[in-house]
Amino acid sequence: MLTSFLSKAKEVNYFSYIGVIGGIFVILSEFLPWFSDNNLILIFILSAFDPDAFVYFFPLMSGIICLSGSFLYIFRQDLKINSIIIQLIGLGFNTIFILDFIVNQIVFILTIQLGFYFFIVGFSLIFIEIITKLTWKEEIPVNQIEEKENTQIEE
Amino acid sequence: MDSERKEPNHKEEDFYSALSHEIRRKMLKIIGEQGYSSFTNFKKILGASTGTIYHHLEALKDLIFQEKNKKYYLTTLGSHAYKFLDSNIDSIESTKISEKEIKSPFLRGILSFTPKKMLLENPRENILTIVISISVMITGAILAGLSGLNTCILFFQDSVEFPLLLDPYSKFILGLIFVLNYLIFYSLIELFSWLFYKKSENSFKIFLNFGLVYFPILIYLIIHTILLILDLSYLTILDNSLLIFFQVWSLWLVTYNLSVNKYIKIERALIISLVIHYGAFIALFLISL
Repeated sequence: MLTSFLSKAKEVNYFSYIGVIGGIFVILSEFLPWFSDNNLILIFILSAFDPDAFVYFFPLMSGIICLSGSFLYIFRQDLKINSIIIQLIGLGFNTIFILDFIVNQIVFILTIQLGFYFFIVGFSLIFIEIITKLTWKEEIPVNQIEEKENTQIEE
Repeated sequence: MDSERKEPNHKEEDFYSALSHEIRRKMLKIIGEQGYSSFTNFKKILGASTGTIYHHLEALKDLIFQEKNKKYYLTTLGSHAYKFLDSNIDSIESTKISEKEIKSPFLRGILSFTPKKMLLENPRENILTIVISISVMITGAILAGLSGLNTCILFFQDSVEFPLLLDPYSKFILGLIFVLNYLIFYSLIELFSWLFYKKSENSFKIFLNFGLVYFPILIYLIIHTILLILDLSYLTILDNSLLIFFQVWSLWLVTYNLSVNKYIKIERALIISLVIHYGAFIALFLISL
């Protein structure tokens, strides 16, 4: 399993790992303090009666979805568009979280802690990975073209 | 007489035969992009053997020539071939989208709920597309007004705490904002297609079928309004998750529409959709502050 993963990983452009790191950052932000000393899990427990409390789980959900999208591309590069769409869904949760939560807490901007920075960096890294995947030109090495031709001739 | 008749065909055959190999197309692109190329440069970029490069240089003899400084340049026919390759690659690759769809059950699933054929057909020949487009725009405007939602391209935000108690004038203004965003979204798509890729084809066709892009958003607005009327607005997580799903669906339709109607590669079309979507998000974030 590990050998298969490593051999697949070697074939992939290093930019694909930006998304993996971004996803991990967003997941970690869930467990780190944001505007007060409480992390988002604790805030969720403290506001369990609030119907909007599930929003506090959005960074965690988003991180897991984006991570799945990044890994999908690492294992199956032919599913590039699918992996981007999965990451878009993940980032969608982040955008809603920013508009619903961060905008209301912006008055506490001076007390920003590690969780917020992890979230913003993670979000940016995932976005950069998507743009890189879309703009990256995959050139087929000449030896692969020659190999393909030889196979066709043999057939 | 007979040889005269055959000559143009031979020229055509030689031309397409020269372009028929990937290495030869790459060699033309190298000279086209850099102006000229040396033999060593070909070897370095292509990573091919000396024999292979000589073989392909021979095949390209009508399209490139060697100067006294040993560098290779494009002939007039070669320049034409380079321009031909450069301008056609997007149109060729945009047709690949249908093959990808068939392979991907995820995208096939999403598109099976959408009147996708209408994006491909000429709306002037199929009046139903125009009728659906206008209906989506008007119904969307009414629902946005009714549920008190402020529109920002594909994002929505509550304008007041109790939207059902909004006065008719405010509802009308919110509906108008929806229509305005519809038109802004279309204009931005046209603007970025032209700015990024110099594509201005089928603008009117896209305008006529643009309502289909908002089709998923219309479904979201219907569900949101039902939740509001039934006083189930506490189901925020469901509402938010649905908005994300329908936004992604709409973005996919915009991308598909651009790809098939403007002949833009799907990746490039997706960049345009993303720039507009996240641009709207930043705008909404700044407004909210």
